[in-house]
Amino acid sequence: MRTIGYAIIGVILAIIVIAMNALYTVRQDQQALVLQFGDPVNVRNEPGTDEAGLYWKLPVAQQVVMLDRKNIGLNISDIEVLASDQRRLVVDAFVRWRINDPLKFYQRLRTESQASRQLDRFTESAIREALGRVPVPEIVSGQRAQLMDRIRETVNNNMGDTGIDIIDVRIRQADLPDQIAEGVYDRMRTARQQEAQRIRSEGAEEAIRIEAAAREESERIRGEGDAQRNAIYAAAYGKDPDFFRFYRSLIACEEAIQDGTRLIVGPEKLDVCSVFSSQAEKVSQ
Amino acid sequence: MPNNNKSNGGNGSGPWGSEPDNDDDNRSPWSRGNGGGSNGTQPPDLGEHFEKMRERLKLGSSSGQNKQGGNGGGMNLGRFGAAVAIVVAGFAWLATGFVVVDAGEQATVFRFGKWQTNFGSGLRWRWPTPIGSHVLVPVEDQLQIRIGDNKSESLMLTEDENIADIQFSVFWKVNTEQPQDFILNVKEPEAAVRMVAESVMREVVGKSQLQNVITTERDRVQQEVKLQTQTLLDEYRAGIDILDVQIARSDPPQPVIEAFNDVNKAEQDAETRINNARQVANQILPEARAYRDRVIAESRGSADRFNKIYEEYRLAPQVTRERMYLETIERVLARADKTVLDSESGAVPYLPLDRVERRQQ
Repeated sequence: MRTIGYAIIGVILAIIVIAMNALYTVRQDQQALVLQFGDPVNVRNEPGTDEAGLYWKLPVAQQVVMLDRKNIGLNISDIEVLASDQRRLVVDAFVRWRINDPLKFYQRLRTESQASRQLDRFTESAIREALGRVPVPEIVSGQRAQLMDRIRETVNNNMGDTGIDIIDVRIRQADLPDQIAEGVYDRMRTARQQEAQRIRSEGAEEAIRIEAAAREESERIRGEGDAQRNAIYAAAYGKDPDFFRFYRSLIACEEAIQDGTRLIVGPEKLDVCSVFSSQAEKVSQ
Repeated sequence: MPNNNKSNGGNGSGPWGSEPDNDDDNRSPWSRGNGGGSNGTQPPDLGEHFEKMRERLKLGSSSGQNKQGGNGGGMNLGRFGAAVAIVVAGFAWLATGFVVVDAGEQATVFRFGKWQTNFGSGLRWRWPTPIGSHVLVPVEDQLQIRIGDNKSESLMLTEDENIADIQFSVFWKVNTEQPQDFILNVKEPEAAVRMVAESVMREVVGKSQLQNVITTERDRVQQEVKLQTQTLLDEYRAGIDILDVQIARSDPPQPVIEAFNDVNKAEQDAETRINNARQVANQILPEARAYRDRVIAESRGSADRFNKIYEEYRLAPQVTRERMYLETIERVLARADKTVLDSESGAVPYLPLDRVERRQQ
């Protein structure tokens, strides 16, 4: 009875083990391919279906291959491309892809790493091909989005029968190679230097203009003063030029001989101011 | 005996085999409950579940009693112990279904790998472990990705084929409405955010002029990158919200930054020169005006003085003329330092001018 009891327990355990082997769960982010002795018999939860859950299979005879159902990223790094204007660019890109046909995927590529290798090759050539047809400015700014679409389509077509869907190909970097970047720096630097020179010179120009305008204005103002003075004098002195000459020569005499001015004169020449008035007389004649 | 054993075995397998059975029984009410979309139906279901298990256990023990009638109390006690053990184990198993969800988290709940629902914070119950599973998602955490810490990431080509040096951060979080998308749809979501944001930034900068990127259009670039990154991630159904894109640095590249700074300096220099010129202007113009006003005032004054004197002179010209002349001579000679020499003395050539000078001092 006791041995029979153990036998029963053994049978139960065996049933459990077999049941465990017969049951499998497909998570929502997975897809499953059921192989019967290597021959694919069933596909569960491929994209477009909603079949996650618990399933039966034949124990031992059937194997389940689980594949990812997620959107997978792949970096494609540092491809040097020659654009149509014969200039070189270093391009980085990434591909977002997923398995959309588990059976084909398993037959053609089998593993994700194999798929990545193939994708890398195909994408690289698609990028070279697409970017080789347009000049650099179009790659950097003009048609970037369209180019990325075209690359995506090319890769999708080339990968055609491998059970992969290319969701997106995006160019990340599109930069000039280092040695050319040096040239760009030189150009940027000289452009800035030019600009700085222009600003400085224009500043100087403006400064000189401002100063000159001020001097012009100042001369004009001074001239105005002088003109007015002449007018005032003319109006006043015009009344009697002769008296003015006399009057003005006296003032000149007084101005000329200040305190302490040394005069060395003979006694008969003491009317020192007559020099001024006679001189004025001479000028007016 | 074999008969007995067989039936016994059948009964014994009851609790064991009941797992799949149990499942089948319960799956319909569960899926109904979920179909109804309310978690409220769960507690009654749970009760039912216990009830059924208890019934089954009772059944098992009673049938055992019936069949093994005369086997004595010891055996009965053993059966009872086993039953207790099974019940305890059953409860323990059910307890694996409890989920504690912290504030700021959500639990995405799966049954046999298929997404069912999301739990908010609190103590919640889902199917016990091999059947149900869950993933805790921190839906409120704000995460930051810095891009551009090294040269190969930060240098990018602009539309005018200059190179800009840009470092920026992307702030993101898991979408609160659809955390299951975050779990299910995109592999390595953080890396995806980084890839997408970097590529979008380069595209946006590639369509802008360097001067604008480093000065006036930073804001526009930020907004555009945020928007386009979000759009792409939505296309991937990544379950991610981009909260913000912030440019920490947007400069010309290191090797040319000096030249760029020199332009700023040139602006300052030009400004300085202009200011200096204005200063000169501000000095000479008032001087000129002052000169004009002074000259006019003086000439008016002189003219007035002359007029006054002239009026006087007209009254008695000859006398006035002589008087004025003499008075002037008088004043002039009075203040001059004079040496009167007799012209016949012939002393002039020997005049010790240096001594005359000294005397004056």
